[in-house]
Amino acid sequence: MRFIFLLMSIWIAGTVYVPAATNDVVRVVSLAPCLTEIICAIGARDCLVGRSSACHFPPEVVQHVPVAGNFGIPSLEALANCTPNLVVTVDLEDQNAVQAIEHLGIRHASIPCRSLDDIPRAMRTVGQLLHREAGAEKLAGEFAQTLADLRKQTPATRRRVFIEIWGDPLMTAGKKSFLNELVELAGGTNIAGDVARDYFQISTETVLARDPEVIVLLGGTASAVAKRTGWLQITAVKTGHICSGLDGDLLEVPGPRILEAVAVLRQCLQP
Amino acid sequence: MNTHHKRWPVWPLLLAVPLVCAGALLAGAAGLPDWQTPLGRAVLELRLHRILTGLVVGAGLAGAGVVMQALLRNPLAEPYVLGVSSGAGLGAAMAVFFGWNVLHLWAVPAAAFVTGIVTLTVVYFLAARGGGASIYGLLLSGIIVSAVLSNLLMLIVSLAPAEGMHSILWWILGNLQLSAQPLLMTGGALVLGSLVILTVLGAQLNALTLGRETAHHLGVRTGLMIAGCLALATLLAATSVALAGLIGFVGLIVPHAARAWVGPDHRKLPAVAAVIGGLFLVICDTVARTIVAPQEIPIGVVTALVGGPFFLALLLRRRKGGWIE
Repeated sequence: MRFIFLLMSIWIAGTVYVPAATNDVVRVVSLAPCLTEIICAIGARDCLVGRSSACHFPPEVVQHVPVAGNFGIPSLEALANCTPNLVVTVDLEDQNAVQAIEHLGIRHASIPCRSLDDIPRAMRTVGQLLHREAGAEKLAGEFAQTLADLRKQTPATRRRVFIEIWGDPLMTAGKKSFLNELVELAGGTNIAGDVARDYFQISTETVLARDPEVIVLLGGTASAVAKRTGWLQITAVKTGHICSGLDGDLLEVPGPRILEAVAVLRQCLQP
Repeated sequence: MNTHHKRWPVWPLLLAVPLVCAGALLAGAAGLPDWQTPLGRAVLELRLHRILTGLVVGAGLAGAGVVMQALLRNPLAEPYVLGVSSGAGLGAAMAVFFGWNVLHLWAVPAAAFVTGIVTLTVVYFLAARGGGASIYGLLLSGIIVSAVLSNLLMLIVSLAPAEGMHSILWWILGNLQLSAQPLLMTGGALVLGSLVILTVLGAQLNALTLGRETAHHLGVRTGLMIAGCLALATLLAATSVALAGLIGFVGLIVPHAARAWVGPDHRKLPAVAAVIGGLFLVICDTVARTIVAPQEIPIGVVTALVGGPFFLALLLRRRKGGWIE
C-alpha cells in the first residue's frame, strides 16, 4: 500500500484550505503517511485518533491508532467511529468526500506535500491546526535549514540516475516529483528530469538511449532488470550499479524523515 | 454477391510492409540511434522487437476477427466477443495478484493464453449442450461467461495492492513491449500456422457465411467447421492477448477494411486482414511511443482513437451495400 502515495501525488491540488481554528482539544485523523509523520514529529501524537492504512511510521504510535480509511480515501463509518473533529489529507481521491466529511460535522484540511519546500509549510500548517505552533516551528526551521545546507553542496560531477518506481509498466519520476529533488541533492541527475511531470510511464528506449550510470529501484530486483531486452548494454547494469531493497517508507513518504533519504541515495551513487 | 464493388490489388499492401516497418524502426523517443554503438543497437533491437510483435499481434487479432464475423454472421463480431478477452484478462490478473509474474517471465502470458482458451471451450460447450452450437447460443453463453469473468477480474483489481492494480490495468490497455523473444517466436509460429489453415478452409468459410443450412447443402460439414474455426480463432486471439494484452478495435475494424480491399472471399481474407492488421498495429504503436516521447501512452488508446473515425468513415461509405454483399 505504501506505493499509493505516489499515485496520489498525481492528483494533489495546489490549494491549502485551513478552517478557522478553535481552542478545543483537536482530535485529528490523518489520511496521508507524510501528515501522520509530521503530526508525530511535532509532538502532537496525542491528538492522533485515526490514520490511513498506508501510514506505517512511527510504528510504535501507529499500531495503537485505528485505521480510518486508505490513503486519501476515507472509510466514512470507520472515520466517524474515531470521533475526530479534524481530518487532514494531502488530497482526497474523491472530491465529493469533502462534503461527506463535513456533513459528519468534521473539519477537513487539505495540506499539500508534493515538493521538499512544501514540507516545512505543511509542518507549520499542521502545527497551527493542532495548536502545536512551537514544536512545528522548531521542526520546520530545522528541516528548512538542513534542506538549505544540502542545496549548497554541489558535487563536482553528477551521475546519471534512473529512478524506477515500477517495472511493469516502466514508471519513473519526472521534474515535478520530490524524488527528482532528492536525486539532485544526492549529487545525481535524473535522466527523466527534463519531463515536466511527477510520475509517468517512460519508454524503454529512452532509458537505453540516456544510458543511466545508476538505477534506483523502488520495487523489483536487480536480476530481473538485467534480464530485460537490451538492458545489459546500460552502464548501470554493466557496472552493477543497481540500488534495490531500499526502505520504501523512507524514500516514498515526503515527511520529516525524507532528507535522510539523501544519504541513502548518496550511498547508491558512489562509484 | 455484390460484383460491382471496387476491389484493389494486394501488391500495394505487400509493398507497404517493408516501408512501414522501416519508418517504425527509424522513429522513436531516442531519435535516430547510432548503429555503431552497443546502446544504439540495443535501441534498434527493442524497436525491431516491437515491430515484430505488432505484426504478429495485429495479424492474429485481425485473422480472429475475420473468422468470428464469418462464423457469427455479424459485422459487430470481434475476437473478444465470446469471452476470450475476459478469460485471458482474469488469468493475467490472477498471475499478477498471486505473484506468479515475479516467479517466471512467462507466467502472465501463459495464464492469459490458458484461461482464454478454457473460457472459449466452456462457452462452446454451454452453447452446444444438446447438439451443435447455434450462433445465438454461442453469443448468449459468450456474453454471460464474459460478464461473470469480467466481474471476477474487477474483484481482483479491487483487492490487489496499488502496484499490482497498476500492472493489471496497464496490461488490460495493451502493450507491445511485454513479450520475451522466445515467446514472440512461439506466438508468431502459432499465428502463421492458424492463418494458413484458415486460408485453406476459405472456400468452406465462404459457404458458411451463406448460412448453416445452405453450407450444409453445399457439402460442408458445418458442425465440425464451426468448432474447428472457433478453435483457430481462439488460438489466434489468445496468442495475441498473451503477447500484448487486450488491444481493442483491431479485430473489429481490420476485417472490414480487408473486405473493402479485396471483397468478401475468405480464401484471401485471412491473409489480407493479417497484413492490414499487422501494419495498423505497427503504425499505432509507433504513434503510441513517439507522440509524447519520452513518455508512452497505451497502444489500446491509439487503436481506438485512430480506429474509431476510420470505422465510421468505412460505415458511411459502404452504407448502401449490405455487410455480406
